Amino acid sequence: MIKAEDTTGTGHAPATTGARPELAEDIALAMAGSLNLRRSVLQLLDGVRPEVADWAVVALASPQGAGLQLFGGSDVTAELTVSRRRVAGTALGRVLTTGMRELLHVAAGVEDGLSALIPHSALRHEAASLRPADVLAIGLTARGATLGALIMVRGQGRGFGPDDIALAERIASRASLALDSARLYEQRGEITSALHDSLVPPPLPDVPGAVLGARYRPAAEQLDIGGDFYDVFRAGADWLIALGDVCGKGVNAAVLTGRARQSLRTAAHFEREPGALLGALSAVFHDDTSERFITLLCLRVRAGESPEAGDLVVEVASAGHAPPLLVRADGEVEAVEAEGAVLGVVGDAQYVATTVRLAPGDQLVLYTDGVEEARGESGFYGDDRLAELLGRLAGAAPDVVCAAVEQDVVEHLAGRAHDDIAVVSVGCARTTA
Amino acid sequence: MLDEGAELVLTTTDAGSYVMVRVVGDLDLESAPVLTAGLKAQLGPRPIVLDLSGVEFMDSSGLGVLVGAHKEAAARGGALVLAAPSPRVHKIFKVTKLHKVFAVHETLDQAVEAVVSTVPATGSVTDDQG
Repeated sequence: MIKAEDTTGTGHAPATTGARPELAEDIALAMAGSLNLRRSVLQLLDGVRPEVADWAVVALASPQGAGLQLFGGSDVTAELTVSRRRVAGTALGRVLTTGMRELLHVAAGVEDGLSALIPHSALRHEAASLRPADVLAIGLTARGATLGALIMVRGQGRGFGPDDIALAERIASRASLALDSARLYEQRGEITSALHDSLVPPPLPDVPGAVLGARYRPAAEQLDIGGDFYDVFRAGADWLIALGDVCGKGVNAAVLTGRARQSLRTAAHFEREPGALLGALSAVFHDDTSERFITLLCLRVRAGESPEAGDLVVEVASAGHAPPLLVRADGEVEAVEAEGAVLGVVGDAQYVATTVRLAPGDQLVLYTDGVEEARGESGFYGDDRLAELLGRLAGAAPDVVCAAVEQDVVEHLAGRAHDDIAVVSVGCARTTA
Repeated sequence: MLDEGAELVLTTTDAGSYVMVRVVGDLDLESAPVLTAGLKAQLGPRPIVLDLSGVEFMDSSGLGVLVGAHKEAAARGGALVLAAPSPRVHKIFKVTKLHKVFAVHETLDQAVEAVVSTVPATGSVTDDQG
């Protein structure tokens, strides 16, 4: 698939008469089409054979440094790993440290000659069948660092002439950039998924007397880490529920999300009143001079005074976040009166918590702006539609309610892109636990 | 990827004692960098009047740009004055309580009047309490 379209009718030059000068460009183009390291290596191996070499291997230093991955050989898809130590002091070792090239001729009878540039017995065995052979190793260097080597063999006395070597060097230098990009992209993916894994909302714990539900739907771009988060945890005899949104996306937002969650958990060891908690967080994040800020809802859930009533007392404080919707079992829906500045902008912000009493069957629904701002054909999803939906769902289990909200938003979007969506509902259990 | 949002267009007018920046389009994750760059170029001791009447939609990324510009402007002795937000944008200011942090004026005329009436340049930062 790498072979370039040839409209001139001359076809590929036969292997014995050397390679087309535009081959380097063709290989670079093919490699640029992929950001997958393995696929890029395959394109390179596929591209150099048979025009430049009869047999080829790409050696790449593993990112951790101790290993050397060997791709290709007779089977271009083969992959082997040898220790970096094994090549120390060999000609290949020199190529890998200096980025220069090494060329050697291995006569028909010589057994050991190949080991200088081919560091694995199985691969040497393959190359040996081509003797008398010429072996050319060229360093793959990008951004000043040698990431590996392209090792090529020409057999049956068809040596590498000066033009062949010049072409091979052009191919190697173009290929290095593509391999470097692919490797960076792969590392980026690893970092992103590690961050992502650390930020995935935790499973919901069992909170006595309460029933919880939650849904989290990150924005579609796989590699972007969302800024929405929620957390439910115990602090002393109380349970705290947080739901928030860090403005922006990507690694910076993710780091701030992690900090916000961790700060809240730590602060809750010393202070569990939601208003005071938000005040502490606001002061901490104000010292951050960036343009990022956090909106956050913080709830403290406790059992009501009379155990037989089975109700819950919930204190709600808001740092610039849309207030939770209180959904009574009978279908009444109203926004909780809770307001306060976003975290990180005002230094000495004060937050006052509002107390809500939940009777069995009542619930509080917390959501991020991805719900309200979801844009469908008819416009924004909007608060009114959410309130109306919740009214119809009154009395249902919180998990069912959260699933229904997500479903309704997704239907409204009808396939359009959306921001992160997080919904958490805390309900008062109908039967006393 | 389909792009539902309109493109963001900035029109900057030098009005002598202040700079007027008119924003038209949706202010979201995608377009926020455009406004960041546009405002950065104008930041200085002169106040910036940001005409938001052409912004129908703004998300938290857009708000982030305004917060950053506000902090930066204050640090340079200038000010960011917001004018004529649409009802939707105004609601976001209210929920986040940022209308107490920013100077937000209902109309462009009011914003200009406020800027012109303040003594030019040094020192007069509007008092905001949390």
